[in-house]
Amino acid sequence: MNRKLCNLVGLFVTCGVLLSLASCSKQGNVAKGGHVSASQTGVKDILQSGLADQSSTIPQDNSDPSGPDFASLPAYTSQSVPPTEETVPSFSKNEEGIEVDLTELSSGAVYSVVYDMMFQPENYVGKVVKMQGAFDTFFDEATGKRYYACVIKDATQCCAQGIEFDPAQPGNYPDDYPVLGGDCTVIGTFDTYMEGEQRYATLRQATMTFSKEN
Amino acid sequence: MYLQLPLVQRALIVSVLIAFCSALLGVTLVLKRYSYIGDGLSHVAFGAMSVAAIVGLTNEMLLVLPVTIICAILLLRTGQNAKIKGDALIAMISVGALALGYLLMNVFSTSSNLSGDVCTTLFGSTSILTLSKEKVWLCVILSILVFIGFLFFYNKLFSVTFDEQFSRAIGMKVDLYHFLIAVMIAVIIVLAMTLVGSLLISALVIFPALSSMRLFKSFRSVTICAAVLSLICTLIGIIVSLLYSTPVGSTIVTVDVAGFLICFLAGKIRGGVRT
Repeated sequence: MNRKLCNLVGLFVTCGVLLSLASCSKQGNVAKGGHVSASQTGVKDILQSGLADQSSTIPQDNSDPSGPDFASLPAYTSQSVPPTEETVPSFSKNEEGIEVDLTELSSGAVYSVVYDMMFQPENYVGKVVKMQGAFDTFFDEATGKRYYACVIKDATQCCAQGIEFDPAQPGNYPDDYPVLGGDCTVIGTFDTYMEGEQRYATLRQATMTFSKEN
Repeated sequence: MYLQLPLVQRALIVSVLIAFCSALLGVTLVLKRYSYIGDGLSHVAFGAMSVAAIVGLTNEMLLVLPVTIICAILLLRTGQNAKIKGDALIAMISVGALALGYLLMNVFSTSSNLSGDVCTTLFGSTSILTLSKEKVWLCVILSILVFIGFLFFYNKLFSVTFDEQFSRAIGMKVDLYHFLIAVMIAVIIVLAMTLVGSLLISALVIFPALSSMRLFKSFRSVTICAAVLSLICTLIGIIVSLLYSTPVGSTIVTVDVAGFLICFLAGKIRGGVRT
């Protein structure tokens, strides 16, 4: 019995080590690319993310402090989007032409993918993304521009991330938009853009479906 | 589908290694009546992590790991001889570090989501699903070191665990092995914080050991069974949490509890239940 258990454990360990080596050697290419945000994770990074958000050039709309925390959207420096050889998860294009359908994933996995999109945006640029989450918006008084975002939460409901979207047909706010925190589904093409010295991620030509009641 | 996601692959690798190593050391800790040390050390790690975040350390491990190791040594070495006994010392350090960590985060943190930060640290939240490759490497290396250390000193650890006085009498450097156990458990605790959070780490350490004790009697059998059980429960927990959108840490611990109940019943049926 003991020998069998020993063999089993040995097998698990060998598999674990081989898997680890295989996974990490593949991702080693990214490290050489000098991805600034790649090492960020855990509470320290969330704290740092918060600190970075505080110094972000984009002011926040304080009209609804109870809404989702829009400040969790990370900002990128221009160096943070180097070319990378890392393979993107093989999302196949479905009948609607969507390549990254986040609505098919559980909340934990959605949080994980959005995190990946925020910190390795180069892997997702040009892909059509569909996501479902809470609607949020803020208005930049300096530029007179309004920003929209779809915010998702993790399984514990304590951490939130969001992706900004650029509506194909902006319409009028608030008449043509959901209420703050209301459920919305957004489809758009993932892209990044520079604003000042910061790089931001957005879904271009986005279409949004929502219910006015929620 | 989920297995195609790089971050999920990393989470599985890291969780398997952490579960395996924590179960190995869990048996020793349970037998030495130090089941609660994991909880105490995780709170120490929480406090150290708060300080690291406030100070702005790029790699928080530089502070968290040494502080946790020092506290582990203090707990294991002075617990038996000091005026403040082991359980009281663990409680004192645990609560003190937790309170200090939260206080520091509250006073000095400029985070826009403090409750989210605390939640992530205490319950793991999505930390395991957002691991960087550097952290995966670190975890792999430390886990392998712990495993090698455990294998290499297996007989010594066995001896120190069961009869410390005898080990001392035959000339073994008991303090040195206490130090080794302290270092290994501190490393595992720091790594496991990512998986289940600081409040649930104890479960990862003690449940596999207690479950396997319901089924087996020898130290080796219990240790091997605990490691296998821990692996299985952790994998099931992560898969369930991914499929059903439940929090990773608490799901893993719930599966561990279920595993314990199954082992308890199995032990009862076999008539081999140990007290």
